[in-house]
Amino acid sequence: LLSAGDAYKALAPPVLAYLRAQRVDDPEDLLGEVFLQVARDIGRFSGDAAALRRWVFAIAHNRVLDWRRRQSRRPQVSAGTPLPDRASAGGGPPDPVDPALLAALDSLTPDQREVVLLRFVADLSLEDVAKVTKRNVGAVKALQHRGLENLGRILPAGGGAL
Amino acid sequence: VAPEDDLIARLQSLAAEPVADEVAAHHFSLMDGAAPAAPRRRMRSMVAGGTLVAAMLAGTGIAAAAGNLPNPAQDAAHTVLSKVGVDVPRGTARSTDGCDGKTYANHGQFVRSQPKGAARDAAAKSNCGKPVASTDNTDKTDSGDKADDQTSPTAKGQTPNTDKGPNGQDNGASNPNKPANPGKSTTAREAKKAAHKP
Repeated sequence: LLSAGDAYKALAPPVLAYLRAQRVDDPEDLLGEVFLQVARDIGRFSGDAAALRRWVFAIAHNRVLDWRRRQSRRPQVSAGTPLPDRASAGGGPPDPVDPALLAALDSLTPDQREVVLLRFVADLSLEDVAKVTKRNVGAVKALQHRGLENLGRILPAGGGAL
Repeated sequence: VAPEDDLIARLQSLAAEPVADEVAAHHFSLMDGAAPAAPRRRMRSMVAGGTLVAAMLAGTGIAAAAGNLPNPAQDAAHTVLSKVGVDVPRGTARSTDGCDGKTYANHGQFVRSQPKGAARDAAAKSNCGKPVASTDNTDKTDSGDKADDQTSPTAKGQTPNTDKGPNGQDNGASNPNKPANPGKSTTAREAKKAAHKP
């Protein structure tokens, strides 16, 4: 029988990376909320490892949407400005892994970023991304293609993690 | 331009960083305190569903015992329950006279199934769909009962509900002092007075 602790050990790192790349204010706190819901509802879950991964990332995806909704109700300092990179802004701790990649992800449209993160950070299949984001597979493929294309244009060739 | 494989590898490496130990410990303590909501909710819905099903079964059983179910259901209840030793009445048998080989739930259904006009008028007079018990004494109800009904008001000293008075005069047209009111009959006192007049 699967426990919430097992799910946490297996999936907390990619969920945290997903939340960080989505630039939520406090990714560790949101990670706790995600797995709190997992712990509450794990009794109702049935399925294999892939289904568990899809379910946990669906929860994380919804938490990010909730967070964005809350943010949109708050007054903005200046509309239209891109989200600042915490490392370059100087506020809080620097991003631990590949800040150049995270900055490049910020330049994608929200839909492209969502699909790219769910495909390659969350490691979900095209079909699972389509289910989580409530899109059809063709739309997910197109967003993935454009997202990778834009990232490739922004990031220098051969530039690895800093 | 960065090659796609390189990009994907960099994206995948983001997921490799572990969660800090103190953060994970805090999250584990949160999860330990989380009450699993699912089993209670499921139990509550199961109890509610079971109560509903039991109430429906009890209602159907009471209706079957009283013979109030529709005919096919009543017959089915009779057949099934008689096998377990419970006696409930059969459904009301319906006449098939004039039904052209079809069966109808009741007389009204048969009449409505006929096209409007003469066919429907004829259907209204047939026995098709009527309870068999009522069609057995159709002649009595059609002639005798109606005749009794028509004569009973006069037996109690009242005039029948017609335009004519007890002596055959017309209530409305022949009496200029009274307004024409064909729907109302004269009172018993007026009828007696009229009867005693030479």
